[in-house]
Amino acid sequence: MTTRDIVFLALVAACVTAAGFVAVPLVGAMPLPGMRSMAAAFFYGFFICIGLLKVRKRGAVFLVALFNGLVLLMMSWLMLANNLIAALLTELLVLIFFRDFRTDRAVLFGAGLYMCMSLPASLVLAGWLGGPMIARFLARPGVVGLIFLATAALSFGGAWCGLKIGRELAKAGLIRS
Amino acid sequence: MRVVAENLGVRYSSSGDWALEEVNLCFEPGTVTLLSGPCGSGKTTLLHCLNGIIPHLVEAETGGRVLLGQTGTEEAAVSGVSSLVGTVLQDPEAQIFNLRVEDEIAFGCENLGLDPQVIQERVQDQGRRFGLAPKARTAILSGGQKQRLVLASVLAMDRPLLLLDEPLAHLDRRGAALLAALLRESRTAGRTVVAAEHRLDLILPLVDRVVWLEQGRVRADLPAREAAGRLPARDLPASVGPSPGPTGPPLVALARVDVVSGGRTRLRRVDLTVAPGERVTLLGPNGAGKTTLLRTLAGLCRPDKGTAIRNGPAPGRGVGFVFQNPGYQLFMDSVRAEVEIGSPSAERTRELLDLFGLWELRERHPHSLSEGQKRLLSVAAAVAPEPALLCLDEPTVGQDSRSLGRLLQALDQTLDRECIALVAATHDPRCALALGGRCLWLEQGRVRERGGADLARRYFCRELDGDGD
Amino acid sequence: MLGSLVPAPRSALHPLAALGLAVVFLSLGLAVRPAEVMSLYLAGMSVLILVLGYRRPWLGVLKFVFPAGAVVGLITWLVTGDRISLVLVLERFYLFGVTTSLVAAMDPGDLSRALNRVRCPRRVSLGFLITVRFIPVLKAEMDRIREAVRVRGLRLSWKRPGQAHRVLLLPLVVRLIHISDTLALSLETRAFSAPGRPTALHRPGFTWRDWVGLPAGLGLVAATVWRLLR
Repeated sequence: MTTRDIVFLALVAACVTAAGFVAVPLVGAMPLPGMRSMAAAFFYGFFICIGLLKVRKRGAVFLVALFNGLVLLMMSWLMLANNLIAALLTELLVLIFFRDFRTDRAVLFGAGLYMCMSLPASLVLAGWLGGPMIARFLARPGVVGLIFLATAALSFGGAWCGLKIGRELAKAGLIRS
Repeated sequence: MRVVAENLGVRYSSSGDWALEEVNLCFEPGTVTLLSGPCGSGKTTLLHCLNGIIPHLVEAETGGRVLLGQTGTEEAAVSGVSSLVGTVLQDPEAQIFNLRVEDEIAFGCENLGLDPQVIQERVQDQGRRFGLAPKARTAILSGGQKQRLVLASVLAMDRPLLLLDEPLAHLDRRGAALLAALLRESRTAGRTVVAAEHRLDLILPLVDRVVWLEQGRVRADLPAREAAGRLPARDLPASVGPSPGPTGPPLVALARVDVVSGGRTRLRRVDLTVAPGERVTLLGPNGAGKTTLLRTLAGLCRPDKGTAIRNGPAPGRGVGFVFQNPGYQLFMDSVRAEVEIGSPSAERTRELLDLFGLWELRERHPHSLSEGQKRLLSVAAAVAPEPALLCLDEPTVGQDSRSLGRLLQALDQTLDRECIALVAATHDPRCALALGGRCLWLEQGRVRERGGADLARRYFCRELDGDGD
Repeated sequence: MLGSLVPAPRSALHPLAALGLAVVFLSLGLAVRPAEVMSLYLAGMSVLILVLGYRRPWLGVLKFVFPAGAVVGLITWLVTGDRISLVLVLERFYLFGVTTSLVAAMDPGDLSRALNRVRCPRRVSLGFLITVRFIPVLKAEMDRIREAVRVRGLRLSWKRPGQAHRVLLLPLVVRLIHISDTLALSLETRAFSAPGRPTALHRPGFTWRDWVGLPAGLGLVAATVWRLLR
């Protein structure tokens, strides 16, 4: 990773952090587990996709998650841990299926998958914070499945929009196609 | 330190043309050299060669060599070059990443491994010189203060070669006076200084030599005293035509208006009326309230006291507004589509593209254009819906005199024919004098003086004299 | 002019000490079960952070934590019919708030320097600082873009998401690319990659608060563990 890559990924991390700060309070008081992840999923998918289109290197998702997590660390180390686990799982799956982020399909996959991978840890945290009622919700596979599907749809939708914008950026000569 | 460029050539991987070709220059210690020429002539590329950004950080095909003293930039690592060169890039907002002023000034010194005591002294010295409080947060600085902070952070490194890319772009007369003092001091201290700048009126008296570039080649290399009368850029559009007077009842009338934002009173008891077809130029230092007044006229911010009466114009309906950075206003995937979205007919789109010299570029992506072309496009798009009032915020930032001339001529034709009122805020005498019409001199949110072209001349003469506040 | 610029606050504890205490406090809090032990644990933590000078961040965090905890807790009580569940939820939200106030007061610049001192790669601390610095910048950028949309007379509608996302996000991404390219060049030309270990203008050092706070915090944790084991 060059300094230029690090700087761009840090800016992408600033975008997802800012998007989270805007989206999460909108659903903060809703007693449904996973709502916070769902609310921010579109923006995470979009911005991580933009980051990957410019920095098509292994470890890019991990760095975005790390920089974002270091800011969230100011609230709780659990959020940093959640981010890092999700990023490691995403990088691992991309490595298995695509080897790296050189193709647009790999970028779409990685950007869309990240938020889905962060959902299990988010649900555990929500279950712990929310007590018995959330635990009851989580015990019902239908509810968990619906939340997962909605999060995945938003996350991959965001990544798809990111790809569309990325094609325009390539047309404008701002990133390599 | 002697700096030599020998037979220098650069071709970017994204372009077929040479951005620099057969450049042979020598910069002696204790001299200040101005690089000038139209947008895209290779000024920034040359600076990037001198500081090793090319070929180390920007991919390009290169020829020839650059020697910093005995060190070749191609053989030395970026870190080696950066220990000899201090560089101030364009766009200060994008260069500051520390949260406090002192950390930003200290950053380069820390990287060079200087003793903390020495760093502390340099932070204090540069903070004092540029009027920056070391403990202040960088996020709350104004555009001019950010430009000063970037200068301070580079000067604190105390390198023998100083490269400045458009250092005057965001500075008012006080900032320009500080820069003038800095250039004089650098000359005395034996530093080699190379600056790229469009605002020749301000910088020519401060330099020893002028290198004029066009299409990547050196077209002229003259002592500054000889350059004043011979450079192409001196053929500025003195005026694009007689300014028409107001016709009809006022479009917007502000009476004793106060505007407060971010806890600061930005405008105090301002009175201003703008009639159809009228031209008004807003003058004043950084933070004087020019942009706030433009935004108030356009209806983008509401007065906290006083009244604003509008006879028609409102944001998105009857008002065109062009920001300092045109990139924010370009949304579409082609130049034609950008003008088309506000245009009432295909004929008008074609006519405006012709008038602003954009017809050949109509299928290009707006973000692939040069800064000058983006500015022309943003103005064409703002004029397309036939607004009654057009507001321009610093239309000359990053513009060479050729593209500024084209912009002013196109504006002149459109404004007169369609009786559009124009209000422009500017630091640039070229623009203020060419637009004509009324002038308002603002300071600390108040109207200090009102007048015509004479006022603009008086204001900019003070600026050239470096008359501080 | 100098007087008009407000200095930023410095954190009370050494950044790594504050971070360490927050990690230990929250980790143990996740495991504490009996309500009376949890209450004593929370009370001990509260006294400690107030003594250490965290009153302002503590009050700031409580403003958000209590309303959110109360809403979730009340709904839980209504659904489960168990009043204890309300107390449980409130306690957990409060624990979250107390540990947050310890780290939220940290100066990111100090944290970055402390990370550098423990040999954390400089690129990580640099990335962290850039992330923190540019969050408010992004808000300002979005405000400018929204204003640009308004003056161009474009009407954004959820019925046309394609236009909305292009109009709002394209200029933002273009600006991001520009900022990152410029900033990277600025860093490199200011000797960011220079060989050798960089020096530091300030090194966050240990103060009496650290010498008091760390043993007291660890003592509280030890006492709670002892109580749980007993």
